[in-house]
Amino acid sequence: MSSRFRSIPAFLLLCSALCASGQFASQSAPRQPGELAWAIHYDPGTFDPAKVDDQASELVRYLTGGVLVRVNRLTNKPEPQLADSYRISEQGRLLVFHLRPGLRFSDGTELTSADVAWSLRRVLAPDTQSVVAEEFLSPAAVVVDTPDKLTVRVHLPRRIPGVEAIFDEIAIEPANRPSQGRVTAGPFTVAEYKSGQFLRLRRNPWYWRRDAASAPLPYASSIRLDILNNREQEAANFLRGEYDLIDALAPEYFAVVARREPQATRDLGASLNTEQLWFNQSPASPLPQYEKAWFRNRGFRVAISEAIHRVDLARIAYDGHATPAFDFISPANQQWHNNNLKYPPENPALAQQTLAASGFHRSGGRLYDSAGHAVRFSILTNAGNGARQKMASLIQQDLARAGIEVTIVQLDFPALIERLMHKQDYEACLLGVSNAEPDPSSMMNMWLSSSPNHQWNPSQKTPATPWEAEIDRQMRLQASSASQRERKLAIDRVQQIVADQQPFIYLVYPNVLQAVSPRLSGVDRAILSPGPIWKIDSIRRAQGRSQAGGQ
Amino acid sequence: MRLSLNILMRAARALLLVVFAASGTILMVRCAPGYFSDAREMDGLYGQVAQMEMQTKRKTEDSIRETIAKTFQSWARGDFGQSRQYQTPVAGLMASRIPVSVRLLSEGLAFGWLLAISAALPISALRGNHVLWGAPFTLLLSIPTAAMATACIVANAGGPVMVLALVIAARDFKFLRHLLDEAWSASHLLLGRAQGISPPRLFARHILPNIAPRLRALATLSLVTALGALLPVEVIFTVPGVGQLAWSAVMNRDLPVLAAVSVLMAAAVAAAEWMASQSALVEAG
Repeated sequence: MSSRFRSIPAFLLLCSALCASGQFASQSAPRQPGELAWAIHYDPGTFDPAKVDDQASELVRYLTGGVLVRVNRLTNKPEPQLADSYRISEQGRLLVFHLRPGLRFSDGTELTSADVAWSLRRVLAPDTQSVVAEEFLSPAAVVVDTPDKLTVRVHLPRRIPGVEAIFDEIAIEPANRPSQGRVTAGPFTVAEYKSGQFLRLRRNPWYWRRDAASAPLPYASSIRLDILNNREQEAANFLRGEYDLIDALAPEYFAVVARREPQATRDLGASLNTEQLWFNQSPASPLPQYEKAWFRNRGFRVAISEAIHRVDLARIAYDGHATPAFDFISPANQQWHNNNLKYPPENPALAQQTLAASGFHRSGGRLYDSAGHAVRFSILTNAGNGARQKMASLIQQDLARAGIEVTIVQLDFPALIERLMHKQDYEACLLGVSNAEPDPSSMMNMWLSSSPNHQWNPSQKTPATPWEAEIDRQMRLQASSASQRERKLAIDRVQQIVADQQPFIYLVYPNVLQAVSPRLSGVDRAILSPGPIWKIDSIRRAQGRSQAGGQ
Repeated sequence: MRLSLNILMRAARALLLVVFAASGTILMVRCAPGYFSDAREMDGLYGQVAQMEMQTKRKTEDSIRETIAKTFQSWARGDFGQSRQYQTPVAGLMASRIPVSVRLLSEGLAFGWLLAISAALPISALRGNHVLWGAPFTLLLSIPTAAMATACIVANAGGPVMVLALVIAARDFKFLRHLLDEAWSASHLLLGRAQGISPPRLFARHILPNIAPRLRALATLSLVTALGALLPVEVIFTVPGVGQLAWSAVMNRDLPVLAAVSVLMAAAVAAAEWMASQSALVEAG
């Protein structure tokens, strides 16, 4: 070997060193003793609990905010928290909360009814622009008073069904000292935040709850939420023991995690979320008139619904972790799901008949309308969602058998929203809806014809069709009725209208897929948000090294 | 006099590059589909708030010309603006991320060059089929950076430095080997070798001074390569650097952040190019 060849071992050594240099600047800070860690996909927009306007901020509010009542995520019933009891007057216009004695904020200062009243008034004030305020229907007319140090009265202008659940979303802050989550009455407080990297929440030493043995809660010393929008990396970090849980595990990674940590993963069945396809029925859209006519044709929409094999979508696109959907209320929402719903069955032969009855005909394997236009359209969906892309391809195949030519257009979210919401420049769209609340009142924005979120034909001045007018009427009725039975009947009626008219063609309910480290105890898995961490104060992490590594 | 004029000309060119990069970025982002959109608009709960925010934004940023002018004016005051997605000053965001990216770049460049040189030195001395010895680097050249990084994640091996080093080594190896091939075959070196002068001495005394200007040019190219690879590497390995920030800014149409990142990148390239050309000028002068 020439002397010049002596650099070969050095080269090999260098390669080995590089291969070993797995860890550079990690996204997260090192785990602290007793700390829980998992990933959130976006930065919270705000830590001000009154101004929460995105899901990441909502989670932070849940983990830090002390609330008067908390909705039990398993029973969906409100339970007293900072208030040790509450009552609603018979007319439903007065709520009286009695606070627990001896409550303190995380800085040790006393929590009284004055703090509660101040927090409620702040949420209700128009200047705050709180999204929660809208749930009081007429926030300006709500009056809060405090007859004594431990009692708070809330006077409502009219009855609001399920009003107590709104207080689950109102964090109590120290009066006149809004602190961006740094002084709280909840289990944790905001301690450290690096945008785009991580958020650390520290245990509140003055938290009011104790366990059965009178030990102070929460058990965890802190929580680290890594901001990570990379599902693959999230799964890898979980398997390495760096993360303790994954709330919404993507179906493509479920099997990967389950193979390595079978006891950690769980498919909880259908979620409240839906995946749906809809056609653009907006008169303002720049589509040709004949296409608009197809999309407004009920028979056309029903035939498309009949032609789609939902079981295949669940089996192939979701690896079996989804449930075929025909309704906007998932069967997981037992209280509101219409069990007697009649919907168009999956039947390609029937789809052909429906199309023929609606003025379409086949020629040479292609479908044509009565004016001779070949039926072809594009399905718009967002890039980066594997399951949705697979569903679009499967629908493309199903509709090809009906003689319909479908092209798939994938756009990133900002571009998609511009086409969908601002320009209405699309033919069909395939997207999902996340339903965090089981109560159908939370879906008002989607169903009222005047709403900008009434996707198939938004912001209508007057309802474009009689059935949309009927949906408006029934939705308003359920939002104002004092009778639970009347509300249920109204929602059942809306479900039936939607099944008959198919403005949204429901495809699947993605299943709730969770991964929770076996080292965590006290986890009570729930379908409702925030999933496995809804009893965060009772979750404890065992020390020592996990099977897959980690601390 | 001529040297000073040359330096001035190059400085002006660097400045122009930065201005063009910034203007181009602002123009592209501002005209990108979805600039006036917000993902929350689709959310039944938060949609109305987001729509109101977007309407206000549309009113204040309607003219592209004004947006460019305002951006340059605020930069002139030392203000890089407020990030759209994080609602914090861009300068603060960049300040915490620049050191991370600089460290990653430095380590990647250092390892990449070491790899390329360690491989090129012995291979350049080989007689016969160089193509075969250089095949691993040719293969590496054909693998996209993102694919290489994803493979590392899947295999749970390697890291951002390794990927960056491999990307740089793959691109620099061929040039280095070519340079060394030429150098070793020079007649005065053959004579030196025949006289028994050791190869390290020949390399240090004769080869290195001869190829130094071309090495500097290659270093500039390496920096450009590394800057290009920085974004996918930081995103895939979730390194909290400038590349990751840029990606997130693209996805959220965060114009102030993107404009600042593009200026930073352009300035880095211009500075590297300027330094390389200055040293060449000084040597020539």
